[in-house]
Amino acid sequence: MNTTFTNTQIDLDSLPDYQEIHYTGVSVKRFYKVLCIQLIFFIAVTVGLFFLREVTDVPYLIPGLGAGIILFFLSAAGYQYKLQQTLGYAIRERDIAYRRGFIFEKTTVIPFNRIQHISTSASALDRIFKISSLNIFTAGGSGSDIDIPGLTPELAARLKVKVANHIIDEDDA
Amino acid sequence: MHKPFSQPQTQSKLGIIFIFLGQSVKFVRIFGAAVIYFFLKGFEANSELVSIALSVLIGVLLLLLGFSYLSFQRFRFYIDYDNREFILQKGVFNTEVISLPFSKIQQVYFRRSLLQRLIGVYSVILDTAGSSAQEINIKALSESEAKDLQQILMEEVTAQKQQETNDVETTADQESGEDSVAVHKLSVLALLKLGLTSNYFRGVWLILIFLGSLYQQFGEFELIEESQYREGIRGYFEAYSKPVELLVLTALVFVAMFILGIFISSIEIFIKYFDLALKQTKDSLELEMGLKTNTKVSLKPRRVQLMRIVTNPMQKRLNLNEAQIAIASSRDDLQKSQISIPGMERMQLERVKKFLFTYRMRPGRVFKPAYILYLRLIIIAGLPLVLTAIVGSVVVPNYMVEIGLVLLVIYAGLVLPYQFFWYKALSLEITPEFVIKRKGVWTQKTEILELYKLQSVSVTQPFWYKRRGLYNYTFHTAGGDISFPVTTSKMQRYINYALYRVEIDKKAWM
Repeated sequence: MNTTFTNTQIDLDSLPDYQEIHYTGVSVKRFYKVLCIQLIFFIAVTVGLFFLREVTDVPYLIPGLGAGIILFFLSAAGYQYKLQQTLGYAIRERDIAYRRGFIFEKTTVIPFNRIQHISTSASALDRIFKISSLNIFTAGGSGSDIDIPGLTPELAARLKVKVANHIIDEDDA
Repeated sequence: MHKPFSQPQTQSKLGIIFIFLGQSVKFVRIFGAAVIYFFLKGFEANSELVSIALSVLIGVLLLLLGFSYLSFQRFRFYIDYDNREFILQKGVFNTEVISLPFSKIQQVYFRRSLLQRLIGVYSVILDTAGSSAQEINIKALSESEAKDLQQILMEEVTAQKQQETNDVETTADQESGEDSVAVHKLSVLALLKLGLTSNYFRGVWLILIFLGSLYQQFGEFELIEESQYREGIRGYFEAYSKPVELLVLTALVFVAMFILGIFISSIEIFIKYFDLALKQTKDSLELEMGLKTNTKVSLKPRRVQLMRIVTNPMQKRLNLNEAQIAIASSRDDLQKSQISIPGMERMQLERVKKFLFTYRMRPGRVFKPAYILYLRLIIIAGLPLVLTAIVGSVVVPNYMVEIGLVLLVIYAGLVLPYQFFWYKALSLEITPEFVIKRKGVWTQKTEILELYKLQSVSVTQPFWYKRRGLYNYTFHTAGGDISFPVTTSKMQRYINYALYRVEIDKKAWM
């Protein structure tokens, strides 16, 4: 397997394997927040359904739609529950990894010496639930940036400082 | 004494007005038409409604004012001298804290819109290497504040980039010298060859767009003649009702379109690449081309992020290759971050590669996608045919056998082999210093990325790949991504290598 690399003296197996990283999960409050949003939408759609009942008299339309909507929101909530379990981040000495997705599991690894800047952000709902997100930007466009949700504000701030220090260390080195 | 800007501070007080006006403009843009409509109608109906509407409008304006004030209050920035970074806090409902290390600031400059001119404030923009959406814009600073901030930031930034600026200056001197060597020139003959072997479909497409716009322009005037036109079509079908004649006629039309397509492509290429000349100086490649507008680009090896070499079998025979080069997009080259140099011979291409890349190419490990990809390709490509069959079975149920046969021939004769060759051509090579992706049946593309210019790596796995241990891999660069689908987990070790290669690297990637 290593025949192509014999001149480089690098043993591929000796390199740290990003797949063996232990990921730290994000706060379950993120899940509650998403549920809350879904609930608001659900209520809005249900109210809409009540109005629809007043103006139409197609048989079985309302029960059918109602069942469909309930099924949709239940599966959306189930999806979010599964998604919540897959969300995780890990900081290594020289890079940060973020894993997300349950149907499509996606892992992005950004070396510290390629980070452009970092920010923490919190939406109005985030602040009600006392969580915030850590956003890491590279020059590689949106596909290469990561956005870690559901961190406590303190943790987000601490991670930000940590990653920022790493960036500066990298530059000085 | 505090150092300037070391305490969190708001923008200039005028900023409130600026934010308010900006918000109002936004509001008017969204609801303006409705408001005007309402007032015009309302005056006719009754004045009571108008007064209600007026108070609502005033209420909205007051809310906007309140929002603007909050947004002004929350927008605070300062310089963290200890950590050598610029920090910005903002947002009323959604809050955000951004920190931008000095070393990542590319440029600090002013911008003024008409509104900003009227109010007398300046935008100070901190530009990073990312996309324009990532730049930091402090929209309302007084002139003195703006200048102070720019000066301080620039001092900090240039302190770190002293070495680089020196390099740039020497480059400028060199360019004026006569050190440049011509690498590549396109003669009229080469242009002609290029035109004849380029993508004809583009030409055909241009014709179709042209005809479409003509039709739109004249379509309205010809309404009266439409009935005659219909007659004409019916006549056409009656006159050529014999299938053979119809086939010949259609074929003729196609051939004519094809020739016209070649013709148009050639003209386009002539205009675009006329008098193309590529010169090599000590530090950069200078490209000049164009008949109507003369384009000049300077390519510095450091800026190059991704290189794509495009050719097709016909051009290969004529020894013509097109090099497309993606460079890191910063403000200087907003108009075009992708540069094409067509019609290069292999020798010249090698020379350009040698100049632009830091490392020499060595052979590496070649990966092929799993055969599942081929199955997926032929299934997806088969879907339109299945759809056609379904539509056919509804519209003309009597001809199902014929339709089915035609579709089968298309599928077995065109789709299957095409997808097979496409799948065969797809490969990814990871060498000690490069990632090279090859693809394409007729138009063959080779994408080359120097490993140390990588920004990050993404690996995706849909759950149905888990059992087979397959993954999709994406290499992100500042000039675009290279993705490679459905490949064995053996590549993971090379991902580790790629990360290692980037992380040990001390060279500037742009």
